[in-house]
Amino acid sequence: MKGRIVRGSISTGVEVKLDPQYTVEDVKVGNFAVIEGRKYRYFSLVSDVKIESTNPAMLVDSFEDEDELAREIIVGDSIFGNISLNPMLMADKEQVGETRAVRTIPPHSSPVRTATDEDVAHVFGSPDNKVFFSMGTPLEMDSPVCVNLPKLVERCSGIFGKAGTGKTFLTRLALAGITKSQAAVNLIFDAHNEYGWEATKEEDRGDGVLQESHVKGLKQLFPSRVVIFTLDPESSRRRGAKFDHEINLAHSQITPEDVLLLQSQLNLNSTATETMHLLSGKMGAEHWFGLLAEMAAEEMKDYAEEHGLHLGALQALQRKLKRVYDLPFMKDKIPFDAVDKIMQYLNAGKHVVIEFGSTQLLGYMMVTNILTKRIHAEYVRRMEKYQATRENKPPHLVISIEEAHRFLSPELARDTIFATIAREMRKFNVTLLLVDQRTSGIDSEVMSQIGTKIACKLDDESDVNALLTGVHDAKNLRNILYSLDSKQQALILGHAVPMPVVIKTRNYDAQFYNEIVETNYQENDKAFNEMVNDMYNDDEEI
Amino acid sequence: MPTHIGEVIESKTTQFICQATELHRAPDFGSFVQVQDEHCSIVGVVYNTTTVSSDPSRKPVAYGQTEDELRRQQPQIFQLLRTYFDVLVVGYYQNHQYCGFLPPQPSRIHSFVQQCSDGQYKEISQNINYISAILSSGCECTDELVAALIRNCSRYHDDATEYQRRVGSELRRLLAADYERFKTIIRRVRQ
Ligand SMILES: Nc1ncnc2c1ncn2[C@@H]1O[C@H](COP(=O)(O)OP(=O)(O)O)[C@@H](O)[C@H]1O
Ligand SMILES: [Mg+2]
Repeated sequence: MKGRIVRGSISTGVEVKLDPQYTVEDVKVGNFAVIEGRKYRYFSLVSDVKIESTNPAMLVDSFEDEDELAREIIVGDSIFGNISLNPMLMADKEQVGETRAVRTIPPHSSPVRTATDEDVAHVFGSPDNKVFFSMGTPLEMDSPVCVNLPKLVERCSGIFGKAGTGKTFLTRLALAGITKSQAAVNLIFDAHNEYGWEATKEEDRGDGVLQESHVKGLKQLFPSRVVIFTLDPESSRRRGAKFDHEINLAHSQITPEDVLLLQSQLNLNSTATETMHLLSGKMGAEHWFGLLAEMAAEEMKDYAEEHGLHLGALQALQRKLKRVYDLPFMKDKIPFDAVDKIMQYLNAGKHVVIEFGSTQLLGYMMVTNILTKRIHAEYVRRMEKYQATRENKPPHLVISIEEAHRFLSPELARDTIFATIAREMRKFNVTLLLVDQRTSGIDSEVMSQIGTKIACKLDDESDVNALLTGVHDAKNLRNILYSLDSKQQALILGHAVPMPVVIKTRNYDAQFYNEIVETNYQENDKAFNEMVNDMYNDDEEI
Repeated sequence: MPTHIGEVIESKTTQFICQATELHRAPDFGSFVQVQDEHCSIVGVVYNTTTVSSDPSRKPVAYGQTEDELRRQQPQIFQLLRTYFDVLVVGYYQNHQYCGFLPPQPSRIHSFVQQCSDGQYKEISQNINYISAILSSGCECTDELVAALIRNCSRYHDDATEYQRRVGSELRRLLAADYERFKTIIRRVRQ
């Protein structure tokens, strides 16, 4: 694509008249374009493509056969492709240096061109698997687009998109990047058993028949750095998936707040809420759940009378809580406290995946909530200690959750641990990676705290609106969002990238495994060589 | 030196009228002619040709006979007839250099007029100012004239299509406000 700037402003972006040999079909929304100003080079995304003409009468001309010459003269020159660009970054043309936010626009008739590989590298950095991690390529290009991993984990981030658009694959990539680079330790609540061990991938063979294949999980890519906990060892065995530990929850670990998170799933009303608080007050926070769940009918009657409680309310509560009580991993007593063990691993820089097997949403929500709450509390404690002593800083922790809107809905958000973490930002060295298909289901305050958003296709207007609330230049990005392919394309915007960019997501396949594991061998080799050299040198000195 | 085909009998800065040397032998509509002059030969385009009686009191009348029969039986009536052609000035040669704008002085009466050579056609039409000169002249059938000239001139260029596009773009620029007129002309350029 080539063209020239015809008009523009900082607030609305610039417009480009395409050179006559190009048509609008040569340009697509989301393409990465570069404007060569006189002093600066501007990096921008195509936000709109229009057909324009110098004279409206030309536009309605259908150019019959006898008008061939007129068509040759008019089309391309007087009727032309008009491209809207919004410059986002600029860099000095003379020195190849830092890019910065645009504060001016290129002069009239500055040439515009498609970005080259060098431009992409200039803006997004070259992949090094430490800071810059390749997530894909710009549309119709082969050069890698990198996210800045330390920045990605520095604030909460989100991976969004409707079902089947590639969220899980993007998350796998991001998690692999974080694990590889050690930018943070991961704690992954793996609702659908997709991240730890092998998972299946469905692919159209090209004739409409879906073909299943397997993709590797984190544990297979980084065997020594990843630990898998499961809540459903049976399911793991059935799937042939390895795991390191089994997690159970004790009745004593359930507080009324944990149950409240399940309000809508359990259909709890305000009486139930009150009753729970009363019980926990009277019986003790550690005992109320077990005691209530196991209370026989007679016992309950007596208890109600004795404490002036409404029997019907008690019975209803017991009935409703039975679903929690019956969860297979709920135990009266547990051999070890999972949180302690998880903390040990995290502290040692290991990444923890918690698999849920065939656990239903209810169990997923409860476990995720309880574990996160306790791990967060532990982090707060350790960070405070660190702030006092400047010793033993706990590693930066990224907690990944699927179905994020279940935990962060506007009704719940203010109270849940996840909203707290999102609000605190990185104060306690814990951030979230949210994976969700319904951004409109997430509290807007939480959405606005998300530093980096990676968005696959979203159809629902309310989801698009929710995603773009508080985003600069939302209007232009909206067009780009709607134009995404429904698979393996994403718009990345925010903290971890210098400018928004549309990518074709990197393939998560054998080549990726090699690339991410291979450097490992090299590192090992290097370390080994150094060791040998050291030994050799030592010898010489003797 | 090629022979002349006419002689200037009326002259002003923008136009001149010539009497053709021979009856019915005026140059074609939309062809380039030049006034012979050593220092400054004025170039123009033929836009109108008239054949009338030279004696206002003796107008031709219809005889109902073919021209051959008439020439045999009444040769005197052809003695009275004269062919005139009108030329619109589009530029001039100065020191063998073509300038695509009006000359400082009009052509002189009784100067001889001759047709332009192929080389001159190429040279003159390379400078597309003639388009605007014609469009702004206000003379009769400007649109037909422009189309005829473009048709003629493109023959003298290696890439005729490219030439037509170039002139067409100029035409579109000049007729920005009147797209229909632009198309009317362009349709007459290439069928
Ligand atoms: N980066 C990728 N590499 C390979 N296949 C992908 C990639 N992204 C998406 N796919 C394909 O798209 C399908 C759906 O992706 P998935 O991540 O499961 O969607 P979601 O989690 O949004 O529902 C996958 O089964 C896979 O075939
Ligand atoms: Mg998924």
